[in-house]
Amino acid sequence: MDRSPVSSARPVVLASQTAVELGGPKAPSAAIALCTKDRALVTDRNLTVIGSDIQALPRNANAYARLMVACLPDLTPDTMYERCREVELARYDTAISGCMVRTEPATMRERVRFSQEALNGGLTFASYAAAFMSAVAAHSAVEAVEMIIATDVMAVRRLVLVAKRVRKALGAMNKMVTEMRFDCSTCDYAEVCSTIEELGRLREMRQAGMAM
Amino acid sequence: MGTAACQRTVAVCGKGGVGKTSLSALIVHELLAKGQKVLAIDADPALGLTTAFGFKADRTLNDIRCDLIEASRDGLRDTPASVARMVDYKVFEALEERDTLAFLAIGRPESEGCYCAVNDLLKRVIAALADNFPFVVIDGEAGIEQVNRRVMERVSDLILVSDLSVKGLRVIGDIAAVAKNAIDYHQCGVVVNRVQPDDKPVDILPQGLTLWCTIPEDEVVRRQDIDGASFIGIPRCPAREAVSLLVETRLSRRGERVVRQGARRCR
Repeated sequence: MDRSPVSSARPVVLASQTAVELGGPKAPSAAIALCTKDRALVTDRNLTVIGSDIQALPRNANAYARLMVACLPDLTPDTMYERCREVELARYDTAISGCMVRTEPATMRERVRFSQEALNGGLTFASYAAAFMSAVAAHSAVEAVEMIIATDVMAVRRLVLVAKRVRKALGAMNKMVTEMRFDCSTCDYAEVCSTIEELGRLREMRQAGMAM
Repeated sequence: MGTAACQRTVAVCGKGGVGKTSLSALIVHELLAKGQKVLAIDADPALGLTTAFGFKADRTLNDIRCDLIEASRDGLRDTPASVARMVDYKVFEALEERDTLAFLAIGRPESEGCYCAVNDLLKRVIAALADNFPFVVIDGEAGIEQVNRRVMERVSDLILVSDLSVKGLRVIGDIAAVAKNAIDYHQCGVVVNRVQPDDKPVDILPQGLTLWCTIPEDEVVRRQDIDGASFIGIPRCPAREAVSLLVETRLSRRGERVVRQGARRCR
């Protein structure tokens, strides 16, 4: 049995009720949302699971990574932030019975607890992911959405490295927006600066603004 | 998961220093001893309930509020609407837990001034999380502000705590008057705390209020407070016995039937 898990309330699953926890404090974890204009890159409503499904996992210390890939045909430099943010925020619109999700946007980690009740009800990654993808697909700008969930520790570790690189790039862009200093010799983000197109664009905008 | 049909949200209010936090802690302790899943909320910026359970409150609701403000300030701007969508999830970051007890602390704004924003957040949190717990126990801040601002509007059981002082009794009278319009509670009653053996019987309650119980001055509770010891596992003592009876008669489902069979409601 794999019934619809969507809940109207925001579920709280305490440790004492938890049957399986993913991405706990001692396990690697990553949550990444990717957006593209290229429809060929996204197989709509497809889920790929790398590793064991929920029912086959031990209770604790499970590595976990969740990638959401969305196709948004009208991505432009002007709409990019808003559109991608909508995809990212969709996870906050998702409430699944017997499942508590704790997000850590600053570290791009995600920690998920499933209750015994949810597992007894037949919850799998298929139904879990379907709820997430429905929330993303509800946005009018989204043409297709695909999800990848990894519980295999080696796969998760590789994705955690990707998340770290993304975080560093975001940190660099935030710094460009909030600071006016352009001294590359003292900048923590100099190593990623030249590889990030958006960073370069922001820098040019800043410098143009300064010149005016 | 949902338990909305029999969900009880209990708020403990009164003047500062009358023992709200000790009473809240003892109520939570009794509910946990009965195997209930409880959400305890330290809504007092002084964080007394946090200490009473040995939690650290490394992350409070106010911290979350500050983070959201900060996020909306930076270059990658979040709209108020998107911030509102995140709040219910972000609050999990501040949730501490031990067995069947979940705990949230409101914290205090670093700067001087208005508590409205953090109180609004607390109100939202109560609405978002309460249905997950058969019991929510809120240790309110001193005075009437949180009641007045409808932070407690979802409260089902309002406990007004006082000692025998005129000031304490006057404050619970004020809270009750404000609560009549601000809270759609199911029942409301007075607990008189720290009663000495030679004190006169309590017969001077503000008009319309019902005495639920008295709690004796108790050396065990006093020592817990002085030592900052956790109320989890507090030994049997007269105050604990009195609160156990209060929970049984007023806050359990059996107690609810007793109330419905004819006991007065205070409004």
